[in-house]
Amino acid sequence: MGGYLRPGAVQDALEALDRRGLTIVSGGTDFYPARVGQPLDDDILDISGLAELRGITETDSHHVIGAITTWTDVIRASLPPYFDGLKLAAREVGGLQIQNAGTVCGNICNASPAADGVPPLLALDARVELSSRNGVRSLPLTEFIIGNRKTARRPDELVTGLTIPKPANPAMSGFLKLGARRYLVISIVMVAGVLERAPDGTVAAARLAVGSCSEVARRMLGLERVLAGRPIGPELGSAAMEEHVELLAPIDDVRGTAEYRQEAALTLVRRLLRALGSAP
Amino acid sequence: MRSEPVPPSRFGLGQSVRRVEDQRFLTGHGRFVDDFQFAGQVHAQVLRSPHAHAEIRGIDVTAATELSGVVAVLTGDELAADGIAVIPPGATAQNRDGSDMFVPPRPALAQGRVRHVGEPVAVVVAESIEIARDATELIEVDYETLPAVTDTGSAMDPGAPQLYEGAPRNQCLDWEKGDRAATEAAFAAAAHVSSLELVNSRVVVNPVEPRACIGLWDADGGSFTLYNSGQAAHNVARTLATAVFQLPMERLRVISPDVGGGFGTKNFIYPEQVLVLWAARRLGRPVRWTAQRTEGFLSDTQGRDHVMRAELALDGDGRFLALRIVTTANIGAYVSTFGAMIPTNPVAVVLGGTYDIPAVHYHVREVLTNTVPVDAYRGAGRPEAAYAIERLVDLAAAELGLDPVALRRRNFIRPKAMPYKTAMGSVLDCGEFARVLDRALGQADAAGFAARRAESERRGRLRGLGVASYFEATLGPPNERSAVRFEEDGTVTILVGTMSNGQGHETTYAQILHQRLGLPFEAIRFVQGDTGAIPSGFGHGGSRSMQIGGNALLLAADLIEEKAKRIAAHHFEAQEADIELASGACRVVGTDLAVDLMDLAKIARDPSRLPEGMAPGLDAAGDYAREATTFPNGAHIAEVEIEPETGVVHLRAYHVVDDFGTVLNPMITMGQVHGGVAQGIGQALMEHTVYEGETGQLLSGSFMDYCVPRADDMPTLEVAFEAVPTKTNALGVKGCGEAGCIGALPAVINAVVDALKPLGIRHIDMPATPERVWRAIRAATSGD
Repeated sequence: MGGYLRPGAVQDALEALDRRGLTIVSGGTDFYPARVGQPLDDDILDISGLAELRGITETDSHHVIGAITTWTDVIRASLPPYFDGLKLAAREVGGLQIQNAGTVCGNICNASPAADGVPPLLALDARVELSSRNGVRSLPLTEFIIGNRKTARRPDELVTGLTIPKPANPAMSGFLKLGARRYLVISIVMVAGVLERAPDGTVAAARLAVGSCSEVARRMLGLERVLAGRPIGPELGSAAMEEHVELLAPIDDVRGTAEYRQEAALTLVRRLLRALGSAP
Repeated sequence: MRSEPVPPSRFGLGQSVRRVEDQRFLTGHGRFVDDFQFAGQVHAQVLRSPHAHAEIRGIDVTAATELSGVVAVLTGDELAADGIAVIPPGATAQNRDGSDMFVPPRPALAQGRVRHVGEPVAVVVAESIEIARDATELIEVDYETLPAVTDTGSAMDPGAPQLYEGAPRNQCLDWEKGDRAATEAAFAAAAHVSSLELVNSRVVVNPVEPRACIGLWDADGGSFTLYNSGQAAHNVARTLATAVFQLPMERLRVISPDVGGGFGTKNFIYPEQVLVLWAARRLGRPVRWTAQRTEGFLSDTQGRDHVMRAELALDGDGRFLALRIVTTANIGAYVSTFGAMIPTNPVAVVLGGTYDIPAVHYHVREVLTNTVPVDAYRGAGRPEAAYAIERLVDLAAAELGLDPVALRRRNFIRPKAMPYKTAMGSVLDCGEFARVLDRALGQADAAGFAARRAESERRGRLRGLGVASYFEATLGPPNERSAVRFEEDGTVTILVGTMSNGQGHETTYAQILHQRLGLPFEAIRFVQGDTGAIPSGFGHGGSRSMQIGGNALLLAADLIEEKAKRIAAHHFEAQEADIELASGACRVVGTDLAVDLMDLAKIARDPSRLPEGMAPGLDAAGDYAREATTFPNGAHIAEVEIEPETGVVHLRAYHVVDDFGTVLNPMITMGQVHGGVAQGIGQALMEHTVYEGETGQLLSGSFMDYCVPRADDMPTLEVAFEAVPTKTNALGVKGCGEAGCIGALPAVINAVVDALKPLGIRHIDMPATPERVWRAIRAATSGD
């Protein structure tokens, strides 16, 4: 067993990180499964005592999801409809016990290609707030996750929260996942999207992301451009074409082949757009 | 005298009495093997092979032995030096040419070569399980890896890696049954032949309680005790004692306490049982072992894994003429206890299903591969048979443009043909297959299916209805003894040689005794799974317990009644013929003279109050031998909806009508059906055992990738009973434990294929995962 530190204040945590590299743990739902059969010899910084980082707060321009906010906190929070996709994803993270312990920020720090939280957060245009003794910096989520289980976090930094801008227009969102079954299994493909509605009933802005089909979940920027300006309706689904999912690079594994994932991704994108387009 | 006689109807046969054992299980008072603790106990951890096939060039245990807290590190060398014999199979078979099958030696620890990932190579015994685990990591094994073969269909290919010199082309058994010439002739004369290659996929069994055992050695008495999470205490004791340790059976007691699920897998003799006993004797300390879930994936016997070529010959009127099946059965790296037997007679006994088929021929070749051994799994051979015939009937109907239900009706064995002897030699005493199917069709609103399909089509979905008329036979050892003991404290103990591992026997056996003798239900206790308390027993398996153990209990009750009447006659100075037994008391007919059975049991202990020469005691044991195989049967109807874009199959409805003969406890029986259907649905749609071809690694080695069904994957299971009681046993029971698993495979796949049929798809193998279905759709629609 290595060292174990559980500070009660963010400043103490940052000072500890400044002294040496530590493995940061909150809910531990990814930490323990990754160490089955191995000795627990990491030096641990347990941030679950940083009460100030728990919960979702609101400013004029943003929502902020604190670093130790759990999936259950997200599900229970009263949030505008453009968070529906994140809430749907939250409900499909493991089972209830995992949702009670696991955190949204932990999910992005773990940076699994199959992380349920990443596509909806990409669609929300989330930015990651990184704090260290030397100050705070903010990175778009797309720049924070840089590879399979790789992030841009420096060893002296702590992810203290996620900031989510308020859309300029009324917006709605959704999330779809395909797995061998719905819960408690790693997904084959997942899709999240946010659609902003202009006063004239057209798409003011669309943000879509696909997970489990590349090393890092990807935004569908080409498709988003195509969607902008189109009238909102179920026919939005047919805007998605094979070319739009070509940027994905899924792998073959025991859960599904690359070929199937690529095709299923397009199907799910179309379904999501159809559903969002049909929403009242 | 008893003050408040219990109304017999409440706890009698046919009543849905709540399971008495559930109070214990649901409140955490169950006692499973891992709950037993012993002074001085040590913990065993097994080092398992990481390779599917390799020579062991050397094992260095120095560092492991030196770790503080380690008590022993043992390998195959010590096992051989101590003269511990190999684990023998419990049943073998003869080749077609009359020669014995090839049975490779199976030592509890590998000697020289490993043949599957997970095979035990060494065992560490230590003061704590953590130390034992750390120590296994310090063992250095020098392996020279060899090419591996895991795939059933290609195991006999000329270039395939060979597991044993004694098994050319990896074949260990070549077995057949049926009249080959008559079958060939019928095929030659047939108007139509439907032919199908199908895979009955391999499943990992995964009982919720992992395998566990504790070995104890009594040096003074020179005897062992094994606590074992098992389903067959006596068979385990017999094999370990007489074959492995070469001791008389009475010097090895096996105790199986509460067991959290077995499904066949816990019936068998496993290396770990040998290891804990052997280590306990070497060390003079209790040695315990409990599998981790991953070990379960890599060492619990797995199920099914048959590749079949199935053919059905029909005449011009759609009547079945002959059935021909050629199977390759993958039995894994070693011959497990019943592993070699399951693909033989247990398939043959029901081959042909509920249909009148004049000629049947079955040919099976068993192959040894670099996989976990395969053995009996819920249904054990009968699901393989039912799946083959029920898929063939649907295929034949599709090819001939006939309604699959009409084709079934045309070929059912008629009730008036009973007793009916099948081409495989099974004699059916009763069964009304058309009546059962008709009820299921009504229950499932099959008549409304066309409208539901049209509605699905409007939503872009493919809808299918799958019908299966399954046919089972109760198997397992044909003998059982059930005993009844009147205790001094006023309770009555039933002692049985069968083994409930979740089937609610504590309740059902008590219902039988309560109904038969009127003994108060609450006073009845239950003992099973202890070779020290029960002189003989044959355990669990083949849906046999009520048929064999239940009827043995009736025989014991007969003896009790007879003796009780004689004692009562003596007591009241009446004629024996004037004594009647009713509501748990013996009474002199036409008088108010009565004595309760519980009081008679007390009287019976006192020789001075008994007739001259009568042995004291009211206890009795009944010995029953199966008079005839029973044939549970029924109809399953599955309705599915498929998303063509993703291949996702939604099971929308599921209906079952079973003929189990007399149903003793409808609630428990329904629970058995629910569980069996869930396991069948799991195999049909979700559970996918994947070995990597070249390395032989089990890729689906955890619940992250091996998908077992959960409650939210199930539709409501609508189950009804249409009893056609058998007269071949006094209880009228046919057996119910495996049936759900047997009907579900063909019902679900028939439904999936029915949904896909408009696209020209004729078959899809299990599990029908979204990707498989999607591939089938794409291949069919791309015009290749």
